[in-house]
Amino acid sequence: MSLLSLSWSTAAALFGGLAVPLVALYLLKERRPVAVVPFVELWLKVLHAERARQPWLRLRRLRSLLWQLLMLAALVLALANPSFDRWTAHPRHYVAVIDASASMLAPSSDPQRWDTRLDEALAATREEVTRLGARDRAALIIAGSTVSVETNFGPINELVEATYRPVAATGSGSLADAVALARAMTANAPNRSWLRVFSDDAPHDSLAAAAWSGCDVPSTRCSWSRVGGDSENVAITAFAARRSHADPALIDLSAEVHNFSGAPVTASLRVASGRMPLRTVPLDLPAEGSERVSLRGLAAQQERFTATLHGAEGSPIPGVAYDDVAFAVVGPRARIRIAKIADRQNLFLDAVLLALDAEIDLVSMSPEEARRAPQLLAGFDLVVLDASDDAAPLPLPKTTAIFFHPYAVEDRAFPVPMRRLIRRPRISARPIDDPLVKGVVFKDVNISEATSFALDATDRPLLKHFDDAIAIARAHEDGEWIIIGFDPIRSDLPLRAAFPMIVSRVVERLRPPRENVAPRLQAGRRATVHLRDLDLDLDDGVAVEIVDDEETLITRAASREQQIDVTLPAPGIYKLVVDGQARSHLAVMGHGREESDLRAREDRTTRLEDRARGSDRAALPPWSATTAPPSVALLVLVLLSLLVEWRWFHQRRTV
Amino acid sequence: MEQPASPLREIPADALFDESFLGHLGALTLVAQRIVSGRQRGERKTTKTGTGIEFADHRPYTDGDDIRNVDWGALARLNQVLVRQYEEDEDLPIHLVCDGSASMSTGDGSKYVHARRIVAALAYIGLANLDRVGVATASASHYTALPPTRGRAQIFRVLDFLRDAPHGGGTDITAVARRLIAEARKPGVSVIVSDFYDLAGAARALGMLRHRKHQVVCIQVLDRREFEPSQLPLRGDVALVDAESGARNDLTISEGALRRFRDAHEQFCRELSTRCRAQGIPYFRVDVRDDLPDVILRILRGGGVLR
Repeated sequence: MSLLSLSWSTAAALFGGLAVPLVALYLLKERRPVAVVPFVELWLKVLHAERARQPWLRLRRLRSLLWQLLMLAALVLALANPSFDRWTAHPRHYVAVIDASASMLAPSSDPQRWDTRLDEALAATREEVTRLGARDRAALIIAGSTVSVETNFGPINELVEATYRPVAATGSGSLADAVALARAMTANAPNRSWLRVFSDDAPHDSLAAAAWSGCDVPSTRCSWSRVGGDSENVAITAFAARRSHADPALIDLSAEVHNFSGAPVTASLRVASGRMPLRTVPLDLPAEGSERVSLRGLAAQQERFTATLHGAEGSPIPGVAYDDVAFAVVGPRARIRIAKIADRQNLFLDAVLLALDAEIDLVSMSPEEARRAPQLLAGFDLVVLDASDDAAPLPLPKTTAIFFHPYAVEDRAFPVPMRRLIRRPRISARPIDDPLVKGVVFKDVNISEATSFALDATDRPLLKHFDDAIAIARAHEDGEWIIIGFDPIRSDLPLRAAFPMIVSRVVERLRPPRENVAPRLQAGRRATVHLRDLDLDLDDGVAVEIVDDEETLITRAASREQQIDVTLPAPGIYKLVVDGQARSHLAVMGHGREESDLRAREDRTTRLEDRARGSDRAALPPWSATTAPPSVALLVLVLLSLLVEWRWFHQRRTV
Repeated sequence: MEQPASPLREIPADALFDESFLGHLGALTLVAQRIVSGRQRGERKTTKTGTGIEFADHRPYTDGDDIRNVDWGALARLNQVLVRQYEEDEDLPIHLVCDGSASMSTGDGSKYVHARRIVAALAYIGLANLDRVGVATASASHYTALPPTRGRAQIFRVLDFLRDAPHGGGTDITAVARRLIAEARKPGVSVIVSDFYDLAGAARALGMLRHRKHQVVCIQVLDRREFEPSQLPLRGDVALVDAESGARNDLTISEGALRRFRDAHEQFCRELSTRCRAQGIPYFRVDVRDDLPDVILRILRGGGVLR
């Protein structure tokens, strides 16, 4: 025999703790009822003879004490819920799978009894397991954001207890995995098994349908029970953010709001960046219709966005609340790696690069260092060369580069031939549409001298002194060279806005298109996050922690081939932390269109009934005395003992 | 020690001798007159022989006997000189003693009520027969008496006396007998109404009274609820407190003990009855639920109180 609710030591301690005061009370003087009699002399005479004849009467109180101690022991044993091993050697198995997707938070079929569909499912499970006997074993699987086995073939009371624990219903749930797990649990059961699924819908994705298919086999009886009723709802069914193509500093937002009801709804969509409100968009949603909202060119201080749905004039909107909020983030701006190769101090160039400091990683080196390790230059997005005195050939990076006055030393070897040296040139022409110089003003720039270049077919002149191109762009396989044919220091160009703009334009052109892509995940669904999209470059095995706004660790993953696999349980915006530093954000949607449509659909119900062959709950065996737990028998025994004890010992009446 | 509640429950005065009771007294008087009819009022025969007119016995003639009492017929038939003896008529008082001890007042006090009603009824009948009737209530702690008086009108004094009589204390019939003997100028009829829960004392007292030529009548008033097992509300561990002494005894009472107590009580009553019969004392056992007129008639028919 084993105890299911208490350990033997706990039961012994409980018995001891209760027995001590019981014995103490018996040792104290018992309060006897007083009877006044007219002829006590005769009583004494009779009872004296009685005592002489039946000495065991003197032990009557001891007998009562032992009786009560026995009852106490039986009571403690009943509380400990004993189970005979012989009974549970081959138990019958019952598995309840409860859908804990977000839609299970919708109103139940009977709001007077249960608040949500989840409550209804838990109550239905409790009701059902009470039909089982003591020898049966039950398991409870919660198909929430992850599959959680709350009880694994324990006694019935464990399952009942588990149904009273809080359950988080988020995302689209993991019903397919839960059903597959439940089938695996019942597959090898020697006796008959029952597999129950409580959900507000039939399997609506292919995975769940596949997991459910063929469940009903002779040894396992499967049924899919629908909980919840019809409910109207208005939901944000889509929300996305991206950086503007025209100006990556600006944000484009789009959202879709759907009205899953038969009446028009007036609402408003509020969009905020962090805690800063951005826009409020009024919505007039037709019955059974949706409206798309597109917001372009928003200036946002943060990369995280929240859209919330509100009723007109503060009144509530129909339906559940979990889909009235949605989250989105935009990817971080990529940091451009820049190498500055210079043999002198150029305060103007340093100032320009310093202004870009938030967006670049700058490494400075001498031409000699660059020549010694030319392979280093391949790791940079941009190389800026400003060597005015070094006569040695300039290093030629295979990436994008800006050359300032490559012929500062006339006989320096350089791939672009010099055409001629021009004293005090004037900028007479520039291409209007070239993205590098478009909109940049070069008017009245004074230059002491410049060299013009002999162009080939792929070269693109940027600045011209009449027919001489004094600044050109040459494209190559991995980028382009921007060659400025004069020394900025020997001109007043650095004093003008044109100089930082040119450098900034080059840097902007180097930004990868991926920074417009921010991974979006769905709660409870396992997803692969590409770290490159988050501008992260991590070696394999580096731990990435995902925390919420309160810095609570949600999950941890190791990078592998610049990817991590994560499952985030609840909607919201999470931070990716690497080496203790927040590096990026992830937005998690809590629901999809399926989870927001709370209406009962006949097609699903019909399909449900088809699949739930024999779904009548009477299929479960009724509770019977033969399967009653020993604790019930013990409690009955204690009750009977109390009656006997009261009847034969404690029942007194005063005269 | 825990003190028991007051054993005596006061009976309202009007309830003790109510109109129903007084109505019974009138009817009982008529019946009593029929039972004792043929006798002259105020006459009560003593055990002494004397100058009465009712023949009592013969005895051999001795010197000095009145020659008029010689039974000549007997002399002729038997050739023996015998003298006729006659009962002497004497006006003997009736002493009615009611036990006022605490044991009479246990339970609902019905024993004491019933005893006082019996005493009142006998007193009324005696007064109606022009007997001299004295009434007393007694216990170990008190003795109060109403001196013998005569005449029907005295019944109200008797009722008032009984109504206001003190009660409580132990049962001590011996002391009652001593007091009765001391206060009676000459022996009479002594009716003792009690539960006699003092068997040794009762036997001694009855002997003393008989020795002093008292004609004693014992009326034992009992409450069946005191000794019937089915009615005794005693089970398990109880503290029995003696109504008279207040002594507490912690006892365990079982069903068997209840049955044995009933048997012992019956044995006690039989022993009292036997001792009374042995001394020629009329003995009546009365239950508090018995109808009072039936009780009185039974006593009267049994004889001893009135002749």
